[in-house]
Amino acid sequence: MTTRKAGEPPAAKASPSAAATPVASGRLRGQLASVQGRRLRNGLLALCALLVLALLPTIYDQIFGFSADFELHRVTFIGILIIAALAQNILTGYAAQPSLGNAAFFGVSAYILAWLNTDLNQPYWLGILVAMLVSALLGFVVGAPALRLSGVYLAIVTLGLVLVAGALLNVWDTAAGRQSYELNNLPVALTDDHVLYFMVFAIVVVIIFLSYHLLRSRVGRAWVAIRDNEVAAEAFGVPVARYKLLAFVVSATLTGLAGALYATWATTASSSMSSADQTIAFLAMIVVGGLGSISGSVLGAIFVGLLPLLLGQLPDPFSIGPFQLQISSLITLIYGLLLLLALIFFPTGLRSLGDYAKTAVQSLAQRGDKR
Amino acid sequence: MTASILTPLLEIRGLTVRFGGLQAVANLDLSVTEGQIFALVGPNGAGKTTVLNCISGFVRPVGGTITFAGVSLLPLSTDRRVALGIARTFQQLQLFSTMTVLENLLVAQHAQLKAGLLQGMLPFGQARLEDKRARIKAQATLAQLGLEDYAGRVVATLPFGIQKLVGVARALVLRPRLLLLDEPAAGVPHSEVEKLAENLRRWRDEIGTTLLLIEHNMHLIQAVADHVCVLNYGSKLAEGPARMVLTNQAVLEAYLGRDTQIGEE
Repeated sequence: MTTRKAGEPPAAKASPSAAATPVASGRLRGQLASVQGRRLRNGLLALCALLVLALLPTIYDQIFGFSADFELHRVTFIGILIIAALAQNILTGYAAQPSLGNAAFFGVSAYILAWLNTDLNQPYWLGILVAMLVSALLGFVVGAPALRLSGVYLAIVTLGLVLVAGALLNVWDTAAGRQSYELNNLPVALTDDHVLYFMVFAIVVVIIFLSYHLLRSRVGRAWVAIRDNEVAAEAFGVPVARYKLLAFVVSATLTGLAGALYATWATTASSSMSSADQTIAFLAMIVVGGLGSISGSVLGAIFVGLLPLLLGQLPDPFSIGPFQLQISSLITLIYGLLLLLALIFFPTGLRSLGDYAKTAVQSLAQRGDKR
Repeated sequence: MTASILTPLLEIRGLTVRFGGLQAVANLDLSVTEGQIFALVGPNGAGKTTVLNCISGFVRPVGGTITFAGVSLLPLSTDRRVALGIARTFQQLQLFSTMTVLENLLVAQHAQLKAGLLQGMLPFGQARLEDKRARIKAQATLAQLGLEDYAGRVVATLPFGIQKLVGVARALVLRPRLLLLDEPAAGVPHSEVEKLAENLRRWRDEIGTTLLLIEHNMHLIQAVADHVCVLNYGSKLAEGPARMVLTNQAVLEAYLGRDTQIGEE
């Protein structure tokens, strides 16, 4: 789950001697051109994405008319998922920690925001900040013992954390005599779906920008080095334990932000935010989208965010012959299935669909040449 | 420490390592002079790699001292030893295989760079400057080893011979005072060994690094080593200038096989 090998071009049949070859300068120029080309392409893609994001509310107004606000609200949800997916991917896809604990941070930070903003009447922004700080602290507390665990043990312990946190939040709800925690003291502006949309996507854009640079910096390289080869990383002076802990804290902070935004979006926090179902949704996002990649996180979040909308078109409960299925249970079933199928058949995720398409076209062209 | 020519760069005294009941290294003394190419030879299981691991900090000996340039190494962590100028390669390469060749050389410089989490998130400032310098250094090292064409290639896609050189480049980018090489000739075709020997000497002269290498390939050792130490069952069997040790009939017969002749392998 931690390495990715597929999708890479087949090994070149270069001679093992490393002496400079006559084609060197040409190849070097080609390489530089391809780097510049990739940068240009990425820049253009980012620009297009920004343009679409900025225009989307207007487009929705045109298409959906009265229900535009409702539809836009659903798109905002995808933005929140992108933050959560990125958080899980930093921890699991980059730093290679198979932690299932992020749902706990997601739920706890939502409750912290609800508590501070609704019961203690604190400003919304303070609530968000405290929720992120508490998540970071929890990430540190969970990450420290997790350093001594690896692989399946880490996964089991962190899943336990999610269930415990969910149960505790549920106890809190019961003690306070409520079904779930309503946030009815939110800033008035945020009840406008347009404002919420622009706020969430502004945050998403900033976070993608910052993590893009972070993951290419010394810190991001150290995480990938740990994933690729822990022994060698240590031999070259990467303090492995400290960097794993850092990944836990960064991931928890981002998940905390996503949790608080989700509570804002749904105007309610519920204990089901810290559950095994939520964990599976987080995992499905990064595995289906692509491990160890920002674009994979975004694609995975879009996919997981859209799936319930598509299934929402089906009648609920959905009946297959004599069986009656609740749509909500169907969703987790589908996530689980996709997780399995993606891991077996598609380990590099949606992100590399483009590469697959390219190779397919090339092999078709080659076959054409032979004929 | 004033007379650096007389005091050895690396001095090992009474080194003893045990793995459970097995004595891997027993009371070993070694001293490597600055600028030397020092070869550690011996049959499999003789404790050669264990000695290397003690120097780079992966194995903790039960007894003895290791002094590098006047500093006692044993209390230091791995990254402190890297900072002192000790770099190594691995027999099983241990490269960062999903990264590009250039990125491998950047990770190697981790301890020499400073930018942390907050600086790393920004596309400008200290982190970028530092990164740019590290990139230039990495590219220069790649050029020195004739690897510049591979800078942007993902390591896992490269042929073994190139990967082997990337392992060396990753160590040399640190401009180490001491380079530990774990079987540089393993898996290298016979025809390339001559060239490898030439390269080892060139790196020593150009980069000014001292080489301590573990090797089975007698051909390579004969071609490059100034000084040879033969280990067996964790203790020293013979040591001295390469020519003397390698022609020592007892060494050849007992530990490299009765019929072994130099040049074979």
